[in-house]
Amino acid sequence: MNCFEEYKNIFMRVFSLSEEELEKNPSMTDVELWDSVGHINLIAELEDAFNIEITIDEMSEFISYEKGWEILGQHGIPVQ
Amino acid sequence: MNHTIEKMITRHAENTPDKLAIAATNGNLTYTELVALINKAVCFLKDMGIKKSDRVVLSAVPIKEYFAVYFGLHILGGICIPAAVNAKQELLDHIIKSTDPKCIFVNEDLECNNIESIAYSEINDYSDVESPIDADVHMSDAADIIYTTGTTGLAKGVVLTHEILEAGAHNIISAVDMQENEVILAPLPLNHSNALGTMRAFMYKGASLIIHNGFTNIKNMEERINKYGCTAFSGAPSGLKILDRATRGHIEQILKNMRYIEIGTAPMDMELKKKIMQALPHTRLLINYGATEAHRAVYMDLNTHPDKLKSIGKPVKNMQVKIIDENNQVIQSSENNIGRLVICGKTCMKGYWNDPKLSEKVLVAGGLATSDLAYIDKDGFIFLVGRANDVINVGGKKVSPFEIEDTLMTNEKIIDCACIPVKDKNSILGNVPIMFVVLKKEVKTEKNEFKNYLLKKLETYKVPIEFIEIEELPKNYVGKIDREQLKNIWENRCKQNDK
Repeated sequence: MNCFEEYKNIFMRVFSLSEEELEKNPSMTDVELWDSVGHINLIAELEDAFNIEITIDEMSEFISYEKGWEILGQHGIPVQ
Repeated sequence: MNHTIEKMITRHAENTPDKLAIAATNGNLTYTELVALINKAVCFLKDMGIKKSDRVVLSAVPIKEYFAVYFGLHILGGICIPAAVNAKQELLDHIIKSTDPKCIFVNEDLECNNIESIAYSEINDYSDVESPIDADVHMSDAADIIYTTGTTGLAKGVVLTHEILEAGAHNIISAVDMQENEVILAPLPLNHSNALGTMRAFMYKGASLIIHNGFTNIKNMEERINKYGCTAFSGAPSGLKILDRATRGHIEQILKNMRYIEIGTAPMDMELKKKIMQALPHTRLLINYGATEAHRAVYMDLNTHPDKLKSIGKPVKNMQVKIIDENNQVIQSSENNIGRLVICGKTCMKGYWNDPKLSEKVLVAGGLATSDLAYIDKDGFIFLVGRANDVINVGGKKVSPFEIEDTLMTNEKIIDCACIPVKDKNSILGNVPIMFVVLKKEVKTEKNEFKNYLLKKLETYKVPIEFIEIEELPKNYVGKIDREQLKNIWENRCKQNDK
C-alpha cells in the first residue's frame, strides 16, 4: 500500500468516512467523530503508520484532510 | 434574594470593576462588562415576557452572551436548561416535551425544530441599564434543570435550586482553597454540571474564568494559559491523557504554573495520577467526586495522601456520605462490607423534573443514593468498587446502554441487541460502549452501517466503537441479557486478536 492509500485508510477508519466523503476534503467541523479524542487518535495512528512525530503546532494546524497532506509532506511523506 | 451568585457578581463589579471575569471564545468581559451584559439579557428576556418559573433552553455556546443569558434568567426567576451545542434533535425533543420551554438560545446560524430559536447576539441591541425586577425569587426556587443520562434510558432533568447552586459554589471554593486572584482554564463543555459548577464558583469568588474549546487545539490552549497567567486547570482524565500524549509525557510544559489541577467527571487511572504527581510536584492534584444530582461532594488531595491514591477522598465541609445496603439501610461499611454510596448535604437535588417516582427511588437515607458501590475505611476515606447498575462512563459522560439499544432496535435489520462497556484501547476515555447484534435471517449489512445509523440519532460518544454479530444473545433464567457473559465473549475475542 502506498502512503496515499495508507493516509486515506487511516482517515476512513478513525472517522468512519467513505471515499466519496474524503473527496470533499472534510474539515474538523464537518466530521462528527473529529472531536478532541478523535483528533488525538488520528495523530497517534498517523505517527505509528509513518514513524514520525507530529508536533503540538502541527496538531493544532491539522484541521482538514488536505491540511494533513501538507503536514505529512513536511515530514517527507509523499501522500499526494 | 440573599447572597446569590448574581448578587456576588454585582458586588465584584463594584469592588473590582476592571478585573477579568470571563475570557469567552468571542471576547473578554470584566466584571463591569459582565454586569452590563447581564442587564441587557434581563431587558431582552423581560421584553420577551419571560417570568418566574419559565423554562428556557440554552445551547451551551462558550460565548459572552451565553453567560449573560444564564445569569439574566436567574435574576428573573427563570429556569435555565443548558444543552450541548451538538445535542441531537431527539434529546432536544425530549427536553422540549418534558419541560415546555419558552424558547432556545442558539448561535447565529442555527435553527432548532419545534421551538422558537433566538440568536444570542440579539441581546446586544438592548439597554444595559439595570431595570427594576418585580420577580419574587426565593433561594428554594428552581434555577437550573440539568439533563443527565440514567439507568432508565431517557435523559432525566435534575432540578437545582438557587440554594443548591450557592452551596455548590461554597463547596468548591473551600475544597480547592480558591483565591481571589485565581485564574482557571476550563476546557469542559458548558452544559456539563462540572463545568457549570466551576464557572459559578469562580464568579461567586470574583476570580477569573478562561474558557477553552476542548483539547483539539493544544497550541491555542497553551497560548491562553500563558496569556492570562492561569493558576488553575479543570478537566476530565481523558483531557489530561490527551495533553500527556500530545506533549509526549511532558505535561509540565503546559501546566507547570498551575497552583492546582482539578479533575472530575470520571475515574482517573493510577498510572496517570502518578505520572502527573511526578511531573508537577508543586501542583495540588485534586480529584472531585459527585453527581449532577448532588454536585461535587467529595474531594481527594493526592499530594497530601499519597498512601490513599485509590481513594476518592473525603466529603467536603457541610457534606456527609453514608453507605447503604440493598434495603436502603445505613451500614457500618468496611473493605469487606460494601454498599451503595449516599451523598447527603445542602447540594443534593430536590428531585427530577416531573418525575416524583424516580426521585423517590434515589432520594433515600436522607440523601442521594448514587449508583456507585463503595466502602469507607477506618480513616474516613471513601473507596469506589464498582457500579450498582450498567451505566457506561465514557470519558466522564454517562451513557445508558438501554438508550443505545432502544435506538438501534429501530433499525429494521435487527432482531436483538445488547450494549456493554469495555476498556478504551487507547486508554483515553476509560470505558467505551460496544454492541452485540442479532440480525434478521439473510440480511446483509454494509461496513459501518449501524455506526452511521446511530450517528444520525445519538451523540457521538454514545455510538459503540464496535458492532459484533452474534447468533443469539446469552440470557439468564428470567430472560434478562447476561451482560457478564457478553463481557467474556468480548475478552476472548480480544485475546484471539492479540495472538
